[in-house]
Amino acid sequence: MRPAAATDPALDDVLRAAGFAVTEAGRQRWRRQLAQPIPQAALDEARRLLDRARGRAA
Amino acid sequence: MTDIAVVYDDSALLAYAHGQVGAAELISEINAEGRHVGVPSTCLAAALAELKDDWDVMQLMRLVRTRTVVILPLGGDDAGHEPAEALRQVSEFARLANCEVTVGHAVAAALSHQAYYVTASPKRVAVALPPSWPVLDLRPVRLVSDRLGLAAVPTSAPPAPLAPLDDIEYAYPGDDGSAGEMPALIPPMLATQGPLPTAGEWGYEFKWDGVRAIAYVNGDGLRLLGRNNDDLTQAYPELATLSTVLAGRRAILDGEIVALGRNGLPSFANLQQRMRTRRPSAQLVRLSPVRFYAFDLLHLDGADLTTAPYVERRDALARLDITGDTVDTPPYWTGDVGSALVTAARELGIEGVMAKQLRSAYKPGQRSPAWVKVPLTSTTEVIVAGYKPGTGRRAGMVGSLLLGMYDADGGLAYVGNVSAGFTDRTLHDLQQRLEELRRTTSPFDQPVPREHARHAEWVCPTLVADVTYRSWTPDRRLRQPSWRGLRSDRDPAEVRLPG
Repeated sequence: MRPAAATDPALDDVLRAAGFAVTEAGRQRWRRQLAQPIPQAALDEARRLLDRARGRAA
Repeated sequence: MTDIAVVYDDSALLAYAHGQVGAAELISEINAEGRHVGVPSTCLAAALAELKDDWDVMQLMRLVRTRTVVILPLGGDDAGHEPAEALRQVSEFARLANCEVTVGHAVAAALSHQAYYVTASPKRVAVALPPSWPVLDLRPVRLVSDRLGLAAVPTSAPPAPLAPLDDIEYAYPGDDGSAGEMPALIPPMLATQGPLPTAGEWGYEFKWDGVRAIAYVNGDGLRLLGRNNDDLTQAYPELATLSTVLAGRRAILDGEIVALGRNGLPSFANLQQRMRTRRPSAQLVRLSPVRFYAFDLLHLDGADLTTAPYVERRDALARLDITGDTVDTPPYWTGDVGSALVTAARELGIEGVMAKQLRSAYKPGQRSPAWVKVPLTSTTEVIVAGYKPGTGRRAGMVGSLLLGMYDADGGLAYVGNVSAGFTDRTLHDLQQRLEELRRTTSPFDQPVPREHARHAEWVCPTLVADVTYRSWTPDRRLRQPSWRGLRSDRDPAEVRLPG
């Protein structure tokens, strides 16, 4: 978990004004998914694709 | 580098602007973790351009001005690459994604920041991302599955080339087992209405609120026939992409033509204008687009699948991987989930649930107990007998309609007011129609209760409409009526109070 200092206290008001009733259960479902690390193979492939795209630009 | 946990593409931003709570809950969670949501500038511009309602624009703009959101400029990144180099990188990813610059920009951002990709259109993105890159799917039906903890039976197969159905024996018209001609007509199988069945083996689907249609895809041609075998092909030209999605295969699909509402779920009200138009203009197609939800496969490349069990037809349908901008394959669920699905349908305002016996064949044109529809609301025809002018946001439009039905004595009886289920377009349209029908006296035979007659404008009782409702009150009023649309094919004299 990152430090809470970076949170924006105004966000909840913005979401409420937009008509959202955010629930803890709903957030928890995303929390579980976000807790899964990006597979190393995907990170390696991403690095290769980014390098290739830059390489073509050079 | 800024700690960006997720990147929202334009479809994800639209999901937020259209009120999809999952899109907001994810942002809320990321804010709570002290991290950030990356929004590529091209995606923001594309989403804003798509929004038709100023209020939606305002809400999206308020969101992107929070500290939680970081707008990622085109041609600039945290890694210090020069703008031309960063732009070229985006273009390379856009090339992979059928030249969609917004996708290219979002993919480049997600990979650079090692962030999850958030979208409501995952198939569009899959071609440009590394195969196992995590994608958070904001499609409404997917969110329903997640919310209920229901594992839907997969609706799309891995992107392996589709093989013929050689592992299943299906009936071919030719005696030698060769591929047969595609039937010219397969009338749709119909469901019986009843309580939710749970004993036995059933598959459960949402009941979509739209126009039933059978799609005949023959190579590069498409023919769409409605429930009464009326030709709908020219009324929904955007569905011609079905033949592109099927890439030359010959298939007959059963499904529903739907128009999505603001929450991303089918809205019958939004479909109304398209239903009235046999040859829509390009502008109408753009403003009121439709989608085809395929839920059954009746024929494929010469094989008649109507004799195959439902579960095998759905499996074959899944292997076709019918998803795209205008077509989709909604999921189905098996096991002990029927009542949870009914609860979800009620929460989401979906019309109802369909239960289908897993081992049942497709019976063309028959109403079969193997398909059971479980509607959550009832529908009835009513006569529009008056209206109340709108106020506030509805100023200048119809506010509500006064509804009637003929009683056993032939008198027009007041049965309630409807003010829900309208789109602004419908209200404008109704205002024009009702102006032409105005009269000075009430068409009802008995006085209308004072609170409903107040400020009412009366009209000749010639328009028939469908409304949904929860139940009847003891004094013969509709409880919670909601507008579905006009029925130009109905005679007002036939609209009778139930006995």
